[in-house]
Amino acid sequence: MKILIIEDQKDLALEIAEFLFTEEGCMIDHAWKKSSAIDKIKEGEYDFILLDITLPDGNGLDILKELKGIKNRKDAVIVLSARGATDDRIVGLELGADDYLPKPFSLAELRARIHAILRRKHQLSDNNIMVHGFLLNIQQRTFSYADQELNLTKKEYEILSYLILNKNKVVARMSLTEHVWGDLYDAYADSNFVDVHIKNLRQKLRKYAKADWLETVRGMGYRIKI
Amino acid sequence: MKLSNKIALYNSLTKIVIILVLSLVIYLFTDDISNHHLQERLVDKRKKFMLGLTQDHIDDLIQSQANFTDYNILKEEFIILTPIKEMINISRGNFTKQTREIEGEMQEYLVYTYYFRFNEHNYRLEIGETMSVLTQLEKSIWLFTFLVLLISIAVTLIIDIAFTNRLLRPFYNIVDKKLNKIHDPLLFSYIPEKTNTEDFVLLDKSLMQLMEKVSRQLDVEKQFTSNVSHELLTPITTLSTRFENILNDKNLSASTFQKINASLVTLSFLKRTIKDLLLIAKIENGQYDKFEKISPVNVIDEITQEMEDLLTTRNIRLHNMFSKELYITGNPTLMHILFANLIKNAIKYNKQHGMIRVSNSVKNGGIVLFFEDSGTGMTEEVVKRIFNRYERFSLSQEEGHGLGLAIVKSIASFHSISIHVSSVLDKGTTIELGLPISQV
Repeated sequence: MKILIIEDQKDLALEIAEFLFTEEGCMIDHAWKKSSAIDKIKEGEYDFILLDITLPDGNGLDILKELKGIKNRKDAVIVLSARGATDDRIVGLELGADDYLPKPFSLAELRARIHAILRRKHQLSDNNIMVHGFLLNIQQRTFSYADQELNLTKKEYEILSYLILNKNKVVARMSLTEHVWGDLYDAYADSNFVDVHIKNLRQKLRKYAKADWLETVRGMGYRIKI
Repeated sequence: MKLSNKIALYNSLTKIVIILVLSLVIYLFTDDISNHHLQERLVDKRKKFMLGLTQDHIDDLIQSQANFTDYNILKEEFIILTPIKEMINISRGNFTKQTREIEGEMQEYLVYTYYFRFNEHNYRLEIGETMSVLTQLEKSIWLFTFLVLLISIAVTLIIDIAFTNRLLRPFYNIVDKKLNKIHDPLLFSYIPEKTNTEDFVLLDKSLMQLMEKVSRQLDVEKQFTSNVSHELLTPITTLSTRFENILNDKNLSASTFQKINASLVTLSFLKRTIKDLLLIAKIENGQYDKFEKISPVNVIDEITQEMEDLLTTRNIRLHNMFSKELYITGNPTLMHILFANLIKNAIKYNKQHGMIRVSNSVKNGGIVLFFEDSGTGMTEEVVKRIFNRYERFSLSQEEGHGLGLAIVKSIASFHSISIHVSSVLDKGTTIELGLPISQV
């Protein structure tokens, strides 16, 4: 998979690259500036473009306009912005971005979004992910075992799919809390709400098969091994 | 004091002075004129009496008595003819004011005394005329003029007030439209107020110039906020992504893992604080200016769902008693945040098996929303300072960052909502939101 990271903060770009690269075997390109980003976009197609709006030599949204001006391009674009202005989000999505992620974001969240978009946009093989005999359908938001759908609550599904999309990675409890409760996460951060849901989730899974692949990592986070 | 009132007061004072002076002048004049007039009449009467006067006539008048006296029926005038021995040579006669008793009635008369010689006899003629008629007339004239003046002053005063009010209307329009009703420089109207009073045109112009400067300054500030947020949020993202990568390092020791995880939690609170500060800045910059009709009962239903886990773990029951017919006007995003923050606090500072009740009622024609909880409550002193931006009001060890209520305050004042907090320690807290009538 070919990914272009357009981000003026090199440190951040490197961290993102490290996280995405190790597991996926991606080809990752960096661009620090608007001008070089446009050059790279014109050279060839990417599966994914992570686009920061605030660049030293201009507005990142101009790159998006440039990209949409080129015919037959299917590059998926996630806009990353620290400006947080609702206008940025609306303008970004109107210009044809696939998603918008306000800074600061967690890598797990970014990964989950990337996977969701890739499956939707490129109709990658199918929307199903196999997990030790279980089947996650991202499109229909279901989780089943041998054609039997598990009766998961909305939050249990959110936690499970988030961990699956971040398979083989340790996902910190904080990141999970943020993903599930969004802006309300600070009210949930102190307690073990995630743990309670995980506990219930394991019980439901065990009715069908072994669930030891859903690991607790040193009490700080969770990981699904595939 | 209002300018129009001051002008009216000044006008009425000057007019009262004028009225007093005029009344005095008229009073003196009428006195003088009427006196003069009366004297003329007396002289006329004397001439009439003297005309064709014969000795027979005089004898007839005096007859056996010492003098001749004649009154008319109403005793308004009298005439006395007295023969005298010595001639007193005052050809023109003189006028005196005398009080005479005639048939038991005291009256003031103007008496004209005239001496004349006729057929070698000397006579004194006294003609008197009552002055009471005159004083009455004077009084009436004076009263009439006084009344006329009074009425004319009242009329001109009313006209003056109406005129100054009309004159000052552009001024109040400018103050009202451009200053009072504007809680945000963004909403300032740059349409000049219609007036031909140059002073107001100047005021309007100066105000617009001032507002332009303020807006420009605000723009700079907004840009600054936006820049700072970028400057802060990007490094936080870099840090947290780095920590996430470290967490996936297989050679990590348990203690390092723990420290990294704790750092992530700290970062998350830092992030939350910055986001909250940005939110407050955005509210205060008026970036949430889209107002809609909102149903509070629906908002609370949404919040109940979002906070389901929080409520169930502590067995807290939330009673949504907002009226289904109740609608308020406001920014939906902000109103949601406002309600959510209040509910969040009501949960946070509640006890196991506690309750939260939201309801509405009408007070002084406006709508009041109540957020009641059966929580730990606060002392009066704590209530006084809970809306300070950085003050956390619980003494418990729970983690918090103290910006929740600052946001509540900010959103409320943006919507001109008043907040009243009443609390009893260990019993619970009630927060009242008083909605302005225009918002209902």
